[in-house]
Amino acid sequence: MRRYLKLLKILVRVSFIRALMFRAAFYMDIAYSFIWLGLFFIIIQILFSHTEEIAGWSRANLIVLLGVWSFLDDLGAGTFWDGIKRLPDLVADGAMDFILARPVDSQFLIAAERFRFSRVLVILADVGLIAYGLTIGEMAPWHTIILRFPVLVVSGYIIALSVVYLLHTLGFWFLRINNVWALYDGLEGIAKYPLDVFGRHIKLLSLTIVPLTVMFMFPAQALLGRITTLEVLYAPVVAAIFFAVARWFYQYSVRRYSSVA
Amino acid sequence: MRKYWTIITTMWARALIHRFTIVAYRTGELFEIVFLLILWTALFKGRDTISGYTIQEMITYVLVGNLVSIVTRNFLTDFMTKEIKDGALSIFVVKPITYLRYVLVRELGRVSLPFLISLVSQIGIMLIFARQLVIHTSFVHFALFIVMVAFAFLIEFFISFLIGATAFWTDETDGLSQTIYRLKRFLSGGYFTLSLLPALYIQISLALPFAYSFYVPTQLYLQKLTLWQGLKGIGIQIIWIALLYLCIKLVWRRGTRRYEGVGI
Repeated sequence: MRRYLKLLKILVRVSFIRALMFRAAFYMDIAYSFIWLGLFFIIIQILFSHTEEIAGWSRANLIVLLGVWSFLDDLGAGTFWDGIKRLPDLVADGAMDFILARPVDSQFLIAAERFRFSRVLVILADVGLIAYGLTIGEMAPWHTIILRFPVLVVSGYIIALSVVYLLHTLGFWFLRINNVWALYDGLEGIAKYPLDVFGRHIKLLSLTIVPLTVMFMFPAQALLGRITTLEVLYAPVVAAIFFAVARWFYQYSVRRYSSVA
Repeated sequence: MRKYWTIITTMWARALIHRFTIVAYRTGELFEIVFLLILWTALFKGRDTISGYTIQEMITYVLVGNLVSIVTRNFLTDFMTKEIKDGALSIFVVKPITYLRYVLVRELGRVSLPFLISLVSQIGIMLIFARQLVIHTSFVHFALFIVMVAFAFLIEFFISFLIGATAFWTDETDGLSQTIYRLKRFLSGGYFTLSLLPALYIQISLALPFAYSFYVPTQLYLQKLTLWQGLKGIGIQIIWIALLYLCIKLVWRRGTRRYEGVGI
C-alpha cells in the first residue's frame, strides 16, 4: 500500500510538471470548464423562466444537482479519465506491453498516469455552485450532510471509475473503440437533470444496471435532505459491485491480450 | 473525378473498421435526444403551449433539428489537428489536390457511414413519435429547407477547418473544439428552441452562422418562417460561407508558414 501511495505521489508530480510545461493549454482548459458550467447554468435559468419545477425539483434544487454532477465529472476528469481513455489505443498499438511489464498493478497505473489539474481546480467553482443552490433553496441539517454526503460522493466516484473502466476494457475485444467515451458522455450528460422525469422502469434501470441516480442524484438528495438511510446504505453496495465487476473484467480481458507491436 | 471517388471509398473502408466507435457515439447521442423529448413532455404537463410551441411542435423541433444536425456535422477538427501535429500534412505538398478540397471530399466519405447509421436510428425514433410529429407538405418550404441544410454542411465544415487550423499555433485543440461544439449547440438552438430566449438574443443568434444548422431550418420545416424569411436566411448563409472561406485562406497562409513538419 505504501509503495502505491509513493507511486501515486510521483505520478501526480509528473502530471503537475506536464501541466506547467503546457501552461496555455492548462489555462484554456480552466476557461473551457467555466464556459461549460456557465452554459448549463444559463440553460437551467431559461428552463425555469417557463416553469416552477421539473418533476418535483425547483430551480435551487436543480442548481445543487448541477453542482454535484459537475463536481463528480470534474473529479473523474481530473483524476482517472485521461489515463483510462488511452486504454483502447494502448491495446491496439501494442503499447500495453510496457504497462504489463512493470512491477505494479497495470489497472492502477493506467488510471493514475495522467492527472488533469485544470479540472481539479474547477471543483472549487462546483462547490461554489452547490453552496449557492443550498443558500437560495432548501438544505439538510449539517450533521446529516457530514454523515451522508462523503459516503455518497465516494460511491458515485467509484461507480464512475468502474463504468469508465468497463467501457474502455472493451478495447481488448473490439478493434479501435477510442471514442467509446462518447457512450459514457451521453449517459452521464443526462444525469445533470432530475431523472425523476422518467417512468418507473427507466428509474429502476438508473438505480441498478446504469446507476446514474446513485452516482449523481443521491449525493444531491443528501444535501437537500431528500434521501433515506436505506438509499445511503445502498450506494456503497452498488459501488462495491461495480468495482469488483470492472476489476474482474479487466483481468479477464488482459489474459486475452496478445501484443501486436 | 476518379481521384475523389478513390478518397471516398477509402474512407468507407476505414469507417467500417471503426464501426463500434460509430455505434457507441450514436448511442450516446440517442440518450440525449430521448431525454430531451421526455424533459419537454414533463415541462408541457398542465399547459398547452410554451413560447408559442405546442408539444407536437416541440417534439418535431427536437427530432427534425437533430436530423439536420446529423446531416451537417463532420469530424474534421480531430483529424486535421492530428495531421498538423504529426507532420502528416507534408505529404500534401506532393499530392495533385489542394488540402481543402481533399479534406472536403474525405469528410464526405468519412461522414457517410455514421450518417447512414444515425439516419436510420433517427428515423426509428421519429417513427416511435410519429403520432406527435408535425408533417407539412409544402414543396417550396421543403426545397428551401434542403438548400439551407446543404449550405449549413458547408458552414460547419469551414468552421471545423478553422478550429483544426489552430493546431498550427497550439498543441491542444481538444478543449477548444469541445467548447465551440457546445457553444455552437447552444447558439444553434440544439439544447432548446431559441424562441425561449429574449428577442435581442434571437437577433444576435440569427446574425451568427450557427442557428442555420438547427433552429432556422427547423423553423422553416415547421412553417414558422415565411418563404421570404427563409430566402433571407439563405442569403445570410452565403455571406457567412464567403467570410469563412476568406478566413480559411488567410489562416492557411499564415499557418503553413509556421508549420514545421514535425515527425518527418
